[in-house]
Amino acid sequence: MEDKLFISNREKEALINYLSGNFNESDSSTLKNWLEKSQEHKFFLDQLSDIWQASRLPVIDDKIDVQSVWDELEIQLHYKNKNPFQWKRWIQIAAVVIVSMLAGGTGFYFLNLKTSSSDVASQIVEYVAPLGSRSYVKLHDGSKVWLNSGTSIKYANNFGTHNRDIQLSGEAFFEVAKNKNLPFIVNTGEISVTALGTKFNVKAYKEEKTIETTLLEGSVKLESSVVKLQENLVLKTNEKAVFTKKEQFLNIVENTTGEKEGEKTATNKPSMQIIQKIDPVPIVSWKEKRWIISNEKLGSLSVKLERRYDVNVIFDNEILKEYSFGGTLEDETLEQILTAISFAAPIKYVVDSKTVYIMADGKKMEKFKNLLME
Amino acid sequence: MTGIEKELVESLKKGNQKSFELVFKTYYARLCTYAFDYTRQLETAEDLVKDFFLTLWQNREKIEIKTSLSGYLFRSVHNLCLNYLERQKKKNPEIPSDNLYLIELKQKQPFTPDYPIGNLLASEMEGQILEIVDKLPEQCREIFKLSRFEELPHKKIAEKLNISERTVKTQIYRALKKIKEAIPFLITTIFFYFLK
Repeated sequence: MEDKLFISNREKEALINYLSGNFNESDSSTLKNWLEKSQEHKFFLDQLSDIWQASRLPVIDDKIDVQSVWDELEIQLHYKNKNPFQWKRWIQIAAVVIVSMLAGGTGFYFLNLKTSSSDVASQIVEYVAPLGSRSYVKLHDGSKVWLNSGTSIKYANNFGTHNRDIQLSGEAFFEVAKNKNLPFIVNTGEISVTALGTKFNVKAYKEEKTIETTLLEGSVKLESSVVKLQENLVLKTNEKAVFTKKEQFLNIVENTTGEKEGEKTATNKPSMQIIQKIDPVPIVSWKEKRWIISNEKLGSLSVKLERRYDVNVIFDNEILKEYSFGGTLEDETLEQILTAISFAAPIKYVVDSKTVYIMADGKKMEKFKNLLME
Repeated sequence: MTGIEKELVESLKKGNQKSFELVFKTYYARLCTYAFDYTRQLETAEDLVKDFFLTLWQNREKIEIKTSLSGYLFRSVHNLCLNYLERQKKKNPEIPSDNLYLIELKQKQPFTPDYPIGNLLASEMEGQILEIVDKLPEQCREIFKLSRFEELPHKKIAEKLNISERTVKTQIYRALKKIKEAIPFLITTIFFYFLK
């Protein structure tokens, strides 16, 4: 190949001048003549230009802030779209409304467990958000409850007048209406959470090892029926209590630097404590259209996907569960989420009705190796 | 197109903004780098590429990609660059004749009709280029780095190293030729970055 290339020093100079943009009439005629001599010359200059451009990338990369350009562009996308897509948007909004009505409808069960006219308290109301749907309930006392997939709450029909006791299985977010006379008590079996007026999230799925209570506003008191906790164990804003069923200890995870380590748990070994910053937003984002996943391992994320979309997730290789995924998903379908994950992890997936198979993608594996090491 | 690319393009056509964001973040800087070769100003290059992405999003349903996503993107930006050069010529009758020669030749590039536009930029080869540069003979390496990474004009490099401008150009030519020999050309690797 190289043998076919004849280039004089003058021609080389003209070529470099062309690339660097300091190009005059004499360079131009020299280079044009040279290019006309052979197809090989043209190909050669195309290749050198290619290298010339590619070697500029690190410099340009340093000067560009892609994220801020994207932020700016993202606004324009919607702005410019407004007119042509207005009609579509209305259909979308209508569709969302219908879907949420349907979800609310299917999520509601009125269970008349025992209708006895003499025993009013024996009437139990149950709300269920089946797998694959989420639900929202406003209770008689004005409190609001969001139910995550596969969650049920039960209460007696004297709720709001004689008591405010709720039985929870699954995950729910509570916005409790103020009532100093009637404490609002969420019972999960092992742990009960007492609130006056406050916002908090309780995750208590039967199949999970932990019960997690996250407080967003106000304060809640924690009690346990199966293990003796410290007297008046009170959770403060942006703290998360993790109760591990198996070993039965309660951990306080808080957003301060950790000065309180060890003080708040009565039954826990201090060495078992995990102290970290809690950002409650991702924890409760399941109830929003916008679902925030902050660097979550695929293993635990798949459990959430199973509930949210009522599917079974099967990994063909356990190591895949160790990959982390982060992102904000907005009203996505399962397929879209899986696609997004497959961009960020070396996986392939196959959806077969209600089963999702997640497999290793050998080609991508190599590239992601470093990521796993961290 | 690979399977992933196909899915990405399909979901982009359906209006999935996440897919669009992924394409944008993967290619934005690369397309700007390409456009810079024509505009010679980063700001202009960025505006041109930003406009391109806006149009891409607005016309997403009509996207037809036959070869590869990167090929499509670079070819589109290339065409916009040519339009830009044409506008420059018309707008500035006073344009220095030297620039005009450059523009005229630029409009002919790629000189070989089937040379893939943005070939190396689209195939994530810059890491390999850097590796090759590091193995160049000392003077050659230093000059190439000053020219490409420090963006010094030939004259400044010559002054700095106390050599002639001609030597600067010869060494840059040598470096490019060495890189060319060491690089496997015409590979199209598909690459994706993570969305954070």
